[in-house]
Amino acid sequence: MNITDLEINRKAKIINMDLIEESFRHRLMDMGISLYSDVELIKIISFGKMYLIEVDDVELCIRRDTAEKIIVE
Amino acid sequence: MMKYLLIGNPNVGKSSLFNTITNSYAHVGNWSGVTVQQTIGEISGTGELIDLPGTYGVSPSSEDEGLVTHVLLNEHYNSVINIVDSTHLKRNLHLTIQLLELGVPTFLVLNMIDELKRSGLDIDIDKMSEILGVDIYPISVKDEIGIDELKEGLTNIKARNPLRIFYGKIIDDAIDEIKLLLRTEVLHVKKCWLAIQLLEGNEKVFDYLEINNKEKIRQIIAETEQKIIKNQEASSLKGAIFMARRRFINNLLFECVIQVSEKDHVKYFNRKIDKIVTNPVLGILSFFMVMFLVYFLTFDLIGASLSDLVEYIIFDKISPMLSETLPGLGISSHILKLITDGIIAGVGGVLIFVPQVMTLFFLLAILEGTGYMARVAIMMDHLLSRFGLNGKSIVPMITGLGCNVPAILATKTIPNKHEKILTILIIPFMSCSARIPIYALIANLLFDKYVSLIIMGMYVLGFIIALISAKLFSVSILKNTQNNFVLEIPPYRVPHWKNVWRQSKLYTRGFIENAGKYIFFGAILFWFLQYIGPGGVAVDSDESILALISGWIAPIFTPLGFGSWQATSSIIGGFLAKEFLAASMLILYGGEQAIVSSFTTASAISFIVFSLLYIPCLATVGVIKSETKSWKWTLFSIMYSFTVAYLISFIFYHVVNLFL
Repeated sequence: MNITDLEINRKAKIINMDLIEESFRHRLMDMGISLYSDVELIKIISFGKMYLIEVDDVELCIRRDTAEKIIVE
Repeated sequence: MMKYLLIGNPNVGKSSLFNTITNSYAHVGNWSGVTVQQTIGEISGTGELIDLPGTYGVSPSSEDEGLVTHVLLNEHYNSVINIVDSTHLKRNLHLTIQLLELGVPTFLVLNMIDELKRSGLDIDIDKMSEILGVDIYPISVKDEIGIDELKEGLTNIKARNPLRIFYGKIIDDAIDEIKLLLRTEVLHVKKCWLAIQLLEGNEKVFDYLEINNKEKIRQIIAETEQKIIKNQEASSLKGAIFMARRRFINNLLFECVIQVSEKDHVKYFNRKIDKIVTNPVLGILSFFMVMFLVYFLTFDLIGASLSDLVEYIIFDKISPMLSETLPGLGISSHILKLITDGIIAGVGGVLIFVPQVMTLFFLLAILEGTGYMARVAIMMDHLLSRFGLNGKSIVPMITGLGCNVPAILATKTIPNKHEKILTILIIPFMSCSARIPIYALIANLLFDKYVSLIIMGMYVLGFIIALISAKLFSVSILKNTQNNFVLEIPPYRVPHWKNVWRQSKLYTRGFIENAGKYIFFGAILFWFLQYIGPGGVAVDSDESILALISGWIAPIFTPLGFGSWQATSSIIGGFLAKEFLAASMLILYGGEQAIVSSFTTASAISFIVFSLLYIPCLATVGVIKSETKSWKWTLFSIMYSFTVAYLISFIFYHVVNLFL
């Protein structure tokens, strides 16, 4: 299951980010999105293209194709 | 004079702190080859404070382009001030750990302590200070809490031991191995820190090492990564380091953060306001309304009036005054002309932009400070990303409809270098207000009934060409990793006025100093070319060098339908400032009738299209150079737009000819 499969306000833990290419994965890590982080989906905007998520108390916005690559449980 | 480095994550109030503890004599420092800058200010009585770009970690990133690592390794400084957002310690402390591992005197400043308390939490400062081995200062810049204590504390720079974290046996062994290799290097930075940075992938550190060791070190790093993966500790070396730090941070917070009362965490994404702002229809509508307001204030109300004032002072007061007094001092008429028509025109050419640039920066800084721009970037991103652009490109692009110069300066907010250059390359196609006179002139003379249609058509054409160019560049010379969008959502807040003011001042000064010099010298050169001719000095315009050159060049434009020396001269003049195009045409042709008889429908359309698209004006070229710091891109921009203009005009000319 990935982030796009979550319901709004549903909390989950990130278990895999390997689908994202390495340099971007490192950048996400710097911003707080990494393995075993707690993630909550807040809202979906722009006709389903942008995902607003909260990771470890930080609110971030990512594109849908990135969200699809973050596996959670 | 003590030197302090101010380092912290983006959005933690770093600029606000900088502005609060330094006096007003800040200036911008530039590090060659990169587009980020450091601001240097003075803490009265204590020393110099250097504000580095906000960054999430020491490793080079698009935010700082390696400046932080560079400064930590190369510059002489006495202490580091690390500012963090107390309400987001989990994320902020990663950078803190990297800084504390350096072992240099450090001050840890916990900002937004008021918000932390409001959310029902508190920090055991003494315990945290003990565990981290650093002096801690809880403050709130907004509420002015703790600032005096901090200022006083800064005068007491103490040595401290580097922070040691357990990274696991595999990594710790690798650190020792690398330290061993480094013992032959002459370094004034702790080897342990270097080793950790190297393992983490900080490429910039490699630049400072001797070549012999680099290979061996890379080998150790590769082997260590293999071991980590094999041992299933993490999927990468950086991941393993990150997780070790996170474990440390979680423990630290568990020990030191106390829950005083149960309060709900207020989300930054405001349900009520953001519902409207990010709504696809209402959001875009409200955005255009906001931009219209900004546009109106900048180019019509404030900016234009101040520009007119500047123009009045320079051209109606100073210039005539010089014309009257200088001859009395024995200055020859040529030098006088140089001064009034060349230098004054040049200086005036720069100063005229200043009120508009400053107003625009001021308004945009306000919008950015309120947190609104982040929402806009999110909204626009899914549209613009199809063309290889970033959501943040929308503001510079729309600004370009007023004037390209501040629009290009506004690209400072685009963190990714490629996307920034991409945006800069397409802004010249956004039809700026200076081109309106030439559209109006030609359209009125030759297309009587369709004037507004034609002018609107120009705006649309410019926009389309801009987007197509962006798409073209993004799949060829400015290729970019597609999925690079991640944006932190800031809270809505009242902007810190001192910040806004300082920022506008700083950027405006940068504009005057950089772009200014190109506009200045260009204007003088141009004046010179139309003042001197083969027949001598102070010749008629059609006997000047400029006319001569135009005559030679004119044939190039014959395939486009306007191969006359007057049109060519005007086009060259239009390079200086697009407003000159219309004026030159009238002067050189000697009146409207002559223009009407020299252009056919097809050639008129082709001429307007060419005016829209051909090379950016001199001022724009000046800022392109100062924002990209590269002659390569500046020249490319000029050549590309000229080529596009030529091709599209050509197409229009011949297609229209076919149909009429």
